[in-house]
Amino acid sequence: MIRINKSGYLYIALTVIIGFSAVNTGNNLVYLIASALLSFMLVSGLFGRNNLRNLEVEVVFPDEVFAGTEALVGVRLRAVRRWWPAFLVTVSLGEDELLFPFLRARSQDEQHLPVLFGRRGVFSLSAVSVRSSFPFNFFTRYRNLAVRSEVVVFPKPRRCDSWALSGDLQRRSGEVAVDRMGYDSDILSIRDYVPGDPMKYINWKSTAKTGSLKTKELAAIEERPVILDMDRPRAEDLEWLLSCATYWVLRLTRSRVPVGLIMGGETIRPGVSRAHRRSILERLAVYDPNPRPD
Amino acid sequence: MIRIRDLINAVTYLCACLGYLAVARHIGWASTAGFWLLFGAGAFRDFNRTFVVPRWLLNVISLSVLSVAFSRVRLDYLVEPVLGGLIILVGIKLLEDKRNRDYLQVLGLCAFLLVGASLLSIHISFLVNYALLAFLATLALILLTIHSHSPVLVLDRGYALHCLLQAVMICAIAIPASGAFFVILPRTNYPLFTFLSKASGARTGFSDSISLGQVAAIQEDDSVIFRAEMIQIDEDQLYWRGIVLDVFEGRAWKSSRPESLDTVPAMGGRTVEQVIYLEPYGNRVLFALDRPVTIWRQERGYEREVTQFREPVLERVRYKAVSNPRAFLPGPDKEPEDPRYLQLPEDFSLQIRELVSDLAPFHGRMERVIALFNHLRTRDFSYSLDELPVSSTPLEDFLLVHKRGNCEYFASALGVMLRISGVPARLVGGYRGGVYNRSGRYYLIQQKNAHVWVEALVPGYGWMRLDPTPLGSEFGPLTPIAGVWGRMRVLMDTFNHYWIKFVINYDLERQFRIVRGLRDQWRRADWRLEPEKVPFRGVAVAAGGAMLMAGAILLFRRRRREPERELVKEFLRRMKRRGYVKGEAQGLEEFAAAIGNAELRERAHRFVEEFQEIYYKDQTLSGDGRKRLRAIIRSL
Repeated sequence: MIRINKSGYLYIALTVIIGFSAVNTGNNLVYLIASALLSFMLVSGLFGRNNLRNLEVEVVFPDEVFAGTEALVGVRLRAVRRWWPAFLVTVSLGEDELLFPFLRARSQDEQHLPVLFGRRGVFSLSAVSVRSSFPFNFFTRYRNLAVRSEVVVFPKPRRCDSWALSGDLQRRSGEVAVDRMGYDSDILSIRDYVPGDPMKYINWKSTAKTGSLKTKELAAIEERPVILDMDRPRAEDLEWLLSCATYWVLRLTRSRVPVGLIMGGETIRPGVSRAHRRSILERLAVYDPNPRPD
Repeated sequence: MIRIRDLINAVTYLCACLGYLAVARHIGWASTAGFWLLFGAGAFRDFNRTFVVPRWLLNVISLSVLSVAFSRVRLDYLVEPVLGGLIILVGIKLLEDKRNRDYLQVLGLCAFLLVGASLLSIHISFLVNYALLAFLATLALILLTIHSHSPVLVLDRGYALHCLLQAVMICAIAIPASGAFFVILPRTNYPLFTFLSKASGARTGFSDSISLGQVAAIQEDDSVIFRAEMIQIDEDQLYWRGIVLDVFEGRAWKSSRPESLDTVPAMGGRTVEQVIYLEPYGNRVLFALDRPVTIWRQERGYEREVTQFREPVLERVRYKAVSNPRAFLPGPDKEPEDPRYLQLPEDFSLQIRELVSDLAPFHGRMERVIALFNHLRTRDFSYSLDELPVSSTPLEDFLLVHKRGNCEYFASALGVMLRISGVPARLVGGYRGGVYNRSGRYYLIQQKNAHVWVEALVPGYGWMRLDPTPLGSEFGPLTPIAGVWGRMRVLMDTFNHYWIKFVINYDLERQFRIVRGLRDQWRRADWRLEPEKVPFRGVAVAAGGAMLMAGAILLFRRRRREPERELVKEFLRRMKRRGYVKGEAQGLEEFAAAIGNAELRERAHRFVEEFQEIYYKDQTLSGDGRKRLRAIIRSL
């Protein structure tokens, strides 16, 4: 698509005036100037078109994007061409715009844009609009470039009391010894000494009894897992609950407390890994209490 | 690192200089001084950032300058005052605290200056100015576009060079393309503002009467009067006929039928065709090789026979002539003898009458002619441009005392003596000689070639050309211009000739001719193939060339694209032929997995695996890898 700028209208007016004078003076040199004005208009169109060809845009979202919080979105522009650089390319992302003044051939440039997502959910971007007024500011040419970018915007974290989500959150929280080797809690068993075992774990009593060196095996200590049950009927607003849950997921996983989730009849077992946290947040982000039948 | 603003300023000031150069010859000293003053002040302001002149003040000055300029406009002096005003406006704009639109206005004003200059002069130097201005304006426009997007940008060397390169490329395409527009832009036979075009003004030189001693001034003049496109002919046939002077008034010759070129009917013999490009010279006389048979001129779209111009020639004109270049044409035996060719003033010089009766006492007309002619050619008469007799009886002084003179004296003397001896005679004014330009295939005739000769009516011979002027080395450049400088001049004139021929004289008629020519060629073309008519060698060469070209383009295009993409494209094309189309969002692996045919699926998998092995591990595609992948594609 092409839009004519103000200076473009002036240029066209100048061309018309000089063209008119050419016809009416019959002076070939004036004709020559009118021809030049026309051909420069045409060639500027060709160069403008070429300027926006063979460009690729990639939109890079940060790992975790929360609603209501500004996220820094990266826009990467790549000139997939052999010789010609790209001049003055503006990439529009919704209301926001980024100007790439100059991009050499076979190179890329990245700029960042703070973007605020108003609500949770999946946002996908299939095309971005690029435009340029190059080479002369007479016409602005627009082009849509395909991008394949999808971002899951998590609910906005909102601080809230834990009882709102799980009545026994407080009660069930705290440290607990688990059935796994560690160096923290009760003795699980006693075994033969293996060179390298720390001296402080040698069980001297058993060593004295048996006459050979014995080592204590202790249980590890873990935080007690927490399961957020979203299916329990509550009086609060759903969005508020999702924000609250997001807050707790972030807070608990930060302090290495395993978090699980019960939502829509599905249960996610507690865990602490980053991937786990992400999958819970994604569930919260896309949760729809009344899914439309497929 | 260069600040973009400084670069724009530099380019704009250069454009202003070119604008000034375009009109420098046509504006007064006041405009010139004003422009350079403002130019200097503006440059000082822009590059030192010292002061700002209030915009309102500059606007008031601009308005005053324009009113002064328009108050000086007269119908015959229209363009020059306006150009003077415009150049001052450019200076004022330069002094302004410029925004982007001010820079654009300077460029626009420069375009108008160029238009104005083209109305006043048609010299080829216009083309140089035009190309330079086009390039600088392109560069300025690119920089202004960048500036409007990021005003504080500092250009590094690479960026600046790329801008320059873009400007060069745009001009390299646009300037030749404007040639195409030039050919096809609509033209009319009835322009409304012809009074604006006033090419180079009328020249003095040729006049429709001869007062003795006047031609000397012209013969010093190197300026071109016309160019004649034609074959090269013998030098002694190079007489360019202009006007017949038949009325003798004692000291001056005049024409009873001014401005009319008399033609003769075609009498057989060799004829020479000429296309003549006549420079504006302010008279209505046509010139053609002696003796012209017919002359045609395109007028209002029609070609018609002419013998004179309706208006004084104030712009370049082009016409065609056919001539019979012999010294005499056998006329009808008994041409009615017009008494005006024997006319002499009453009581005309007794001394000359006595001289004639001494010189030519013969009965036969031809003998008398020969005797009188030989008197001027063989005696101690010599050619001279200076010390011409200035008296109340210049011819007597010339014939009896000084015996030195230019062609006017020789021709006048012979004409008068012939009339006294009873031979009908007249003078012919025109040009003699010319330089043949072999590359342009035209004769260049300069004002200094102006000449006068005599025609005498002799029974059996008709009007016979007699040139009594001795051909001294000082007369005219009958020999080609020599030396490096001379060759340069001839070369420059060739350019100028083509410039005039193809650009200045391009008109509606030529436009029609091009269209007609194309149409005729299309119609005339024989599309049936007849084996004996087909130039096989030519066809083979053309086909071979075309194939080579196509191959090179294909190769180039293929190399230009990434080979990996090409392979995937080819793979997908092959699969499409087998009925499997990859979805927009489908990955290659996913696509291969969805293939129903087990054998095909297995092969597709092999391709995808091998491809991904290379592509996603950032390996470059080697020749072997490409071969393997191609082999798989072929097996699909």
